[in-house]
Amino acid sequence: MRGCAPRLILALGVGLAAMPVWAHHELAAEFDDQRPVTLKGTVTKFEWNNPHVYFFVDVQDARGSIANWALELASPSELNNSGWSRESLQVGDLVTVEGNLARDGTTLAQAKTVIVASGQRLSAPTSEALRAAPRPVGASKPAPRWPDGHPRLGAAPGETGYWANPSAGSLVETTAGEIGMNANGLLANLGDAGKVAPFQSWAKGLYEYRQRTLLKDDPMVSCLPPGGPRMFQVPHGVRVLEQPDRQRIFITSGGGNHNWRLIYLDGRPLPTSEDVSPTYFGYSDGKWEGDTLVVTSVGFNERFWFSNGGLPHTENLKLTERFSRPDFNTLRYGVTVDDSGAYTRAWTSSWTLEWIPNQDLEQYFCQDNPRDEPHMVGKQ
Amino acid sequence: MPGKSVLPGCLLAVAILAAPVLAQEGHPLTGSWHGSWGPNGGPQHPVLLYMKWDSKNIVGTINPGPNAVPLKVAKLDPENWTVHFEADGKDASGNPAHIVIDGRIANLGSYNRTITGTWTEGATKSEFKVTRD
Repeated sequence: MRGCAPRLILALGVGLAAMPVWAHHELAAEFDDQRPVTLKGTVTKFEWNNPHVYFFVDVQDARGSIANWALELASPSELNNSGWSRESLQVGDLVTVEGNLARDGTTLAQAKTVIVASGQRLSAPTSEALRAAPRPVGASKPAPRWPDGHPRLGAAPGETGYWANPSAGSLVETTAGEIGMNANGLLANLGDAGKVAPFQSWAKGLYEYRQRTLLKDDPMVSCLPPGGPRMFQVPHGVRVLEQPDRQRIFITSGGGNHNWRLIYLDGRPLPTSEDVSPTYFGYSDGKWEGDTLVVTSVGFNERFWFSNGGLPHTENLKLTERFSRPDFNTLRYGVTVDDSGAYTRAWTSSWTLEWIPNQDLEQYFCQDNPRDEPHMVGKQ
Repeated sequence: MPGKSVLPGCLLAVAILAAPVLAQEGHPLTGSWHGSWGPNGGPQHPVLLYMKWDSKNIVGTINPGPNAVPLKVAKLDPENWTVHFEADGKDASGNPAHIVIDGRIANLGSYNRTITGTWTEGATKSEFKVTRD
C-alpha cells in the first residue's frame, strides 16, 4: 500500500557503497560492485517471490530502442523486515533504479535504490542494515526448561520463536584467530585460506578455487539443501521442535526449501556406511551431557557444501555437534569436523545464534522462482 | 504408423540427453568420466574412466568391465589441477602396452567438468578428453 511509503524511506547512506543484500548465496559472483548503473524507465512486472524479489523495467536508450531490464532484490521476508511490501511497486510506475550490473553482460542488475516518480527513495536492505536493524529480542532471562530439567532448545508451550543471526559466516577452526570474511563465508584475504581449517592439499586447492570464483558454483544457487553445520549459517534461521515423548528432535531450516533433519535420542546405534544411503543431513543420534545436547552424525553425501564459503567434505564426514542454551536468547553451537578424506585431523568450530521471539519461520521455497544460476559467472 | 513408433524413441533419447548430472562436491576426480582418445582428426576410441578418492589415494579403472585396466599411478596436482595417470593395458593387437595419460581439469566447479590432455600408448601420443557424467 502506498500508505506504507514513509516506512520505505531509508537512509541515503546505504546507497552504492554498501555491501550486497543477504541472500541464500553469495551475490558477488553474479553482480559487479565496480560497475554501477542508473536505469530510468517504466515498471512492467513486480514478482514478489522467493528466493529473490524481481521487478522488470522497460528502459529506452538514446537511439529509442527499448530493453526490458530485470532488477533483483532480496527475499520477500528480508524486504518485509526493511519496510517493503508486495505493493511497493506497481506496473506502470516511472522509476529510477541505482544498482550494480550483472557480470554476464545481460540486461540484469542488482537494485540497490529505487526512486519512484514522487521522489520517494526505496532502498534495498544491505547486509549491514539487516544485521544492525533492531531485533525483537526478548528480555534477558534464564533458558526455559523441560520438566526433567533439560533446557528447551525450541519454543516453550504457547510461545513461538526460532534461531537466527549466526555470529559467524562460515566454519573456521576455533584456534585460527581473526579471519575476515563476509556473511557468506567469502574471505577478505584469500591468503587466509590455509588458516580456516587443516585441509588436505586437494581440499585447500578446491576451497581456494571456490573463493577465487566468488562462490559461483554454490549448490544452494540450484536450491540444493544446506546440509551439516551450514544449516545454522544461512539466512532465515532454524526452528527446533522437540518431541521428548518420541525421543527425537526435528530441526527445520528456514532457508533452502524448509529442509529438515531428525535427531534420535532413543540410544539407537549409528548405522555403518553399508547400512545407510548418504543424504544431505546424514543420520543423527543425540544424548544429553548435563545441559548440552551432544549429537553425532554420519552418512552425508557429497552433493552439497557443508559450510558457507565452500569448504569441501567427503562421505567420510562425521560431525559431533554440541547445542546449549546458556540464556533465553542464545543458542551456542559447536561442531567437531572429522573427515579424513578432506582434512588432516579433526577440528572444531563454534558460534552462537539469537532467539527471535514471537515469530515463526516464514514460508520460503527456494525453488519458487530461482533465476540466478545462469548468471553466476564469478571470476575466472 | 512410422511416426508412432519413432516418437517414443525420440522422447527417450531427449530424456537421456537432458538427464541432469548429480552434484559431486567432494574430491574433484571422484565419479565416472566418459570420452575418447585418438589422433587429432583420426579414429577415436571411446573410453570410460572411473575414479574414487580413498582419503589418501586416487583409485581408478580404465574401461571397467571385462577388459578393465586398473590405474597403477594416479596423481592430481591441486596447484594447477593437472593429472597424471599410468596403467598397463593392451594395444589393438592384444600386446601389452603401457598407457600414460596427462591432462588438466577444466570447469572445476561444474558437475560436467572435463579432463583434456594426451593419451600415450607405447610410443604413440594421441589426444584425450573425458567429461564427468
